[in-house]
Amino acid sequence: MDHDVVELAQHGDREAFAILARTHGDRLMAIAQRILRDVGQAEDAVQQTLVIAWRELPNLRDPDRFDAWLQRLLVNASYAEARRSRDWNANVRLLPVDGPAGLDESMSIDDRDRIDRGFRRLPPDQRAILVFTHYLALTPTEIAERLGIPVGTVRSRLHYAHRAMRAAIEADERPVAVAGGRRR
Amino acid sequence: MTDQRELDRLLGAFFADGTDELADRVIDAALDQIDHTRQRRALRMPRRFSTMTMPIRLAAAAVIAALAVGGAFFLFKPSQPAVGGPSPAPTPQVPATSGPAGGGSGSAHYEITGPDAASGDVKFASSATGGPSSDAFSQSAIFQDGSLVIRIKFPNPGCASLLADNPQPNPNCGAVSISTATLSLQDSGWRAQPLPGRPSCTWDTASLTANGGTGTVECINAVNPAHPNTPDTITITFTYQDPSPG
Repeated sequence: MDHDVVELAQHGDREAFAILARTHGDRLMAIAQRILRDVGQAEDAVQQTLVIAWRELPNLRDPDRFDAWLQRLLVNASYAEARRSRDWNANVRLLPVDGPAGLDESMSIDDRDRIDRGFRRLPPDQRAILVFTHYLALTPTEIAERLGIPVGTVRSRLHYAHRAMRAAIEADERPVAVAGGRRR
Repeated sequence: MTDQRELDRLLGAFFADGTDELADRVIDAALDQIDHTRQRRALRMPRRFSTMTMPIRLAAAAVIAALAVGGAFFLFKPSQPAVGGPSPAPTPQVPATSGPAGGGSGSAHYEITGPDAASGDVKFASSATGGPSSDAFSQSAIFQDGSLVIRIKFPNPGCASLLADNPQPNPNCGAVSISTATLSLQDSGWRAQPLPGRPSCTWDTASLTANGGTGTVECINAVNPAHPNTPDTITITFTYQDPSPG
């Protein structure tokens, strides 16, 4: 179904693009929110992604790859959003701002806080790799193809991200200063 | 030590929580914006080109570039008498006056700004009070796969273009230098990236002050690793200095 709709949108059909936006919007939001850990920023990234997608759609060679292409745009928009916010390092919070609907019983609150803090310290490109690996369950080869980067780069980023997360989990629990991160 | 399996489990649980719905107002806002956004025209290389091996691709690109340069030279060369036999061998043309089209001496500033976040347009503005008019220069930009290519054409009689890496400056051509604004551009994450066949094209101010030459279209290719596909705004200011009269 997507193939035909994408082709229509490629030829300037705004209604077709609206269908694509509504079909893929939730998925984009889920990915962006997990990378950015902020609903407001994630919404901005998704909105920007949709606008860029519309603009660049005529240059998409294979309509069947629309989903992967869209995710690549989203990741890049998320990088830009992260860069704009400039609070990757300062924005350390005790509680997730956009917290979960319900805590997963398989992880303690302490674990969750440690992971959250560790994740927020990661650069955006490593965050994206973790999300694609552990949320979308993609292999390094699939991620490389989706993001348009060498598979070695994916493995390297994954290695450093895992190392950082491991260190965060193993860190001794101690009071954490809450920095005044920007909040939209 | 947290083993990989445990780490995978914790990260899986961590990412299981989160927002999974996009608010309608975000889609509505995007669609609203799209109403004012033009789609880019498809810029596709023929499939046959994409299946070529790299050496063949480079050779094809070289042939295309040579044709473009030759065509530009043909277009911009001063007119020849329409009668008579075969044209004589071309001789270097020296402009009769100091200025190119719309000339006059002095300096002028040209600004390239873009791409615009909404429209994707790259704007070319001039604050010239002397020298050539802004439409004597032309520019184009392609924002594609992380690269912003800005090509600037200088239809200056006798030196149809400025080649940033031209090893032999031509004193009859105007000088173009890139302003210090470029430095802040570098600081903001933009980096020069050599164009195919122009490995020495950089942001380096010295090489951009080189003059003249024949041909057309050179030569800045900027890429921002942090914004590979995202429109960002950059401003590049060029100063054009006409050659000294006489």
